[in-house]
Amino acid sequence: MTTTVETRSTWKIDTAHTNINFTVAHMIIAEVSGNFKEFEGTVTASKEDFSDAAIDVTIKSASINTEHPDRDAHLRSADFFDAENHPVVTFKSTKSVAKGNDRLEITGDLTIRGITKQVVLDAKFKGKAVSPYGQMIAAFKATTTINRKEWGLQWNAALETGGFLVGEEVDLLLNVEVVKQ
Amino acid sequence: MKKLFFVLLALSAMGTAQTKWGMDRAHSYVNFSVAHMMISDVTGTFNQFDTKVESAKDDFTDAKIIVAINAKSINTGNEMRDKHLRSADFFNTDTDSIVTFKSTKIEKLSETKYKIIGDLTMRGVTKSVTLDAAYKGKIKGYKGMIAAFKASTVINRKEWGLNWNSAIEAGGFLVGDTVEITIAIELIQNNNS
Repeated sequence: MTTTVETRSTWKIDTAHTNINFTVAHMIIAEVSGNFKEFEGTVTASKEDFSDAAIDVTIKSASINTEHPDRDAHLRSADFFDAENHPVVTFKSTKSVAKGNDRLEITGDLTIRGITKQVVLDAKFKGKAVSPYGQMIAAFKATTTINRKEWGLQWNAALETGGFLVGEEVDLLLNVEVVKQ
Repeated sequence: MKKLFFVLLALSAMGTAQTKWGMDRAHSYVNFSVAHMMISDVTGTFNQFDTKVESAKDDFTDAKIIVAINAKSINTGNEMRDKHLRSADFFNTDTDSIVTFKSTKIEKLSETKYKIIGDLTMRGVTKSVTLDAAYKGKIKGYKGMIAAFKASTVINRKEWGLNWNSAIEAGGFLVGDTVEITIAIELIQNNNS
């Protein structure tokens, strides 16, 4: 009997060259953008093109930043992230499917406020390079759109003219650079 | 911020039967992204900027738009990198701290798609750029009418003298030449107009 040992390489997120950004509608027609400042994560893969990548990311919910301290405090409150009781947002991939042309469909569990729901990231593997420090790096870009209410981020205010102040749909855009360990 | 105010003041002399709009800073942003190591992207934003718009027509096709950005307020979430970006290698903010965009022509492609052509000045260099814009419409806000635009463009930073780079051993350069810019502005109609 032979045993096949799967050799997976491990890559760590370079936080200086990674952004977790989002945009959400304001007053129906306008838009606010923001990001999370503190996060960490790893990617493992056995294939050179990352087509079997497994991703594990932890984001500090209190690090949400929309360049507006009052709004950020509101976002950290129980109206949105409830950061005191739910200090982290996590994403753990469950499946990666190569779609050709370096495109990947990464399915995973997104946990916010203790609620776990499946999301699908539309990702692109952008290649590998050797950094000036001699480290092997790889880069990805990924997007998805989620409805914040599914995770219990419920707050809103009705507008006089109909509709609501804050959009329910949130567009996520991730630029990720990982360093081989 | 004083300097931004004076740049924008220049607009007020333009017209009389114009509707004047200011900007809601809390619901507007100027973001950018640039390649790092050829393959990955760094994103950033400017924390201080302002916008003034004057328009006689309801659909903004005759609008005069000025956006003024404090280059010192560049923010990529990494203080050392931001300091480098403010230096003479990039924006040289000690001598040229204000970036301006002044519209020269607006083309309406459809109800929601516009091309906004204008002069972008950085480091004392002025060049014409074209923004692909989406006009998102008008709505009554808590303090009067608001209108919203989202626009994007791609520029080559070297055309404005933001020249710094470092060669990578494997070929290519550390920082990309092309910069993708995305702007979303929420305008508030001035009460006195």
